[in-house]
Amino acid sequence: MFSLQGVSVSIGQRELLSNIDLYIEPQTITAIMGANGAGKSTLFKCLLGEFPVTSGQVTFKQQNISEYSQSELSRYRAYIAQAKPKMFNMLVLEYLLLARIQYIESTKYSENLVLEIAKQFNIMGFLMRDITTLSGGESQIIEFVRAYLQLYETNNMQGKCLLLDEPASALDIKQTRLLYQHLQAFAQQGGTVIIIDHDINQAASLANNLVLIQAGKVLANGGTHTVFTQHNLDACFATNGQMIQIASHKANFYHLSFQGQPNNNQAIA
Amino acid sequence: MELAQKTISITSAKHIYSALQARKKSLQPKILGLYVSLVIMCVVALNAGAVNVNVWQWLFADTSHLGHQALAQTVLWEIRTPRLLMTMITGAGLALCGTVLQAICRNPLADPGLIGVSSGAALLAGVAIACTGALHLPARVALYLVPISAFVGASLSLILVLKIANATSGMNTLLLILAGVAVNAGAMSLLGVIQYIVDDATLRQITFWSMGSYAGVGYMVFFITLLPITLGTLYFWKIKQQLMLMSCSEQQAKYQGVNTHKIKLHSLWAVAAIVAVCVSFTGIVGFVGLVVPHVCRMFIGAHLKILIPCSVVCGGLLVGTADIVARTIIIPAELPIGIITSIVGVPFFLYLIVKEKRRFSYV
Repeated sequence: MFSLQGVSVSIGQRELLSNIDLYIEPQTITAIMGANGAGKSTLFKCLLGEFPVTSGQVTFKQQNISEYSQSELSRYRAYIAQAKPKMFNMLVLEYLLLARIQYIESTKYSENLVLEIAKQFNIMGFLMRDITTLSGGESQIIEFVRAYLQLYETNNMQGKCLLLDEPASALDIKQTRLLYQHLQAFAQQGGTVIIIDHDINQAASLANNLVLIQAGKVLANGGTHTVFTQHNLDACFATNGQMIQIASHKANFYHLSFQGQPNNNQAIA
Repeated sequence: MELAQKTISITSAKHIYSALQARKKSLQPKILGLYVSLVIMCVVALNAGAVNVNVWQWLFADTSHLGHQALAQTVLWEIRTPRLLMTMITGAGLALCGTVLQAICRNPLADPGLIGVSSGAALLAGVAIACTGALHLPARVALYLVPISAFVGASLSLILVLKIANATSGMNTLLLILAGVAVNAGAMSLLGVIQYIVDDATLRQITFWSMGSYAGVGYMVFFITLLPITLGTLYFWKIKQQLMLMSCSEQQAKYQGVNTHKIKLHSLWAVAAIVAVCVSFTGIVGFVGLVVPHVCRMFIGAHLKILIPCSVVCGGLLVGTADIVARTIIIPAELPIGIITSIVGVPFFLYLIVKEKRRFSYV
């Protein structure tokens, strides 16, 4: 889906990303992990085509991303940011209709589509609500449906990509699970998901592939089973945690104990 | 599912459609009321003033025997009608600009004065008035010189603000507002310098100009103003969906395929052109661009599909009403209309704020 060849990004003297080679497989869920300031968001902006890279190139669907127009891109990839309150009131239904802005179709068709998709995701009860009154969890589910509508052409989501930047930061575990179940279903329909999530255990249980970023470089990259190891995570976050395995859930958890005195020398690396 | 349980039981498309219908119906009396008020205002505006023109009689009675009332007819067709049209069109234009700027800046406090356009116009208009006084230019020249300089001032300050706000990664809204505030302050202090230097008569003229007046407006001026406002309204109507997305989040709008840079640039030029023509001919009529969108939003919601036409009508209504008050309260003299719009607008606005405190929690 995406492929990055020797991508570097510098702003002034600071090099935010250096020489990144990365390939993101279609129809998978890829989680990008890294400490604060490691370059996750910069990498994300490259994938979104937000700013030109200093060197190297970002390819999306076999074509340089800078050659796409915004309206072309908007049909193939959708972005979901952290939950933010909206400024002006409108109905959720009206908000969702705006997701179809790039498609030339009748209002009737858009309306029917929104209703159909809303039914599919079980959010019919929200359609007549005001978007400014939604809770964080509710608004993220609405954002997901909005992104889905933005990409929707047929039920087949092949060649479509969702990018999520900490979508669950304001969500409790139940709502996070609901959102992540939707993401998994999206990947099963052929879509590609790229996600940044600070809860690394949560992200690891969701993603097929992991990309670990450290100081603007790719530290490790590959299937979750091979990358999500104590060695890699210790190196990535400059910590020393423990891997806890729960055999019955086939899951690994990286645990960092808070016991002991803070070590001021390495508090902020 | 857990999320759905909290809300009212709207579960099928049929329910949604009927809910939408009910919503539409609940808006109808409000919109109707607005139009009725506009018509009443028009009749009152034509009727009221220093010269007694009985429009009621003309509307509902046989007019043939009134043919000899030449003075009344001249007053009605040559003075009051163009003046009424001008008040309505400038009110509409300023309200429209406020609505659009608030959406683009995602800031409920944005208004056309904020981006420095009106103060730029005021500065150069002040310069023009001062020059006319100092150089003893004939009144005929001043008649053209003041609006033209005001327009140049408006354009110059807009170019300055846009140049400052234009970053490499597109236009920054915060920078835009900051630059606008700076240009405002700069222009106002320069105007202060001019006001300090000139003689008393010129000072009075400048002061009156900057408080706004519709006295002596003719059809020509009305048509010149009508053009950019009509074009602007059509343009904003065309891009209403893009503007709505941008009012939610500019970045998100861009990722959803909106050419935000282009929309912003074109909208700002349109706003500046509208404000420039309004301000050039009639001086600064404050408060309309800020208060009208808020009033409309409180009554009918923020959807631009309804908000744009309602703001336009409501703006015309407010300025029209203010002008009636301005020229009837101390007949035969006239109060500056800018003072009236504030006096009419502020208490009403405060009342709405207090009434709907909860909605302002987002600021």
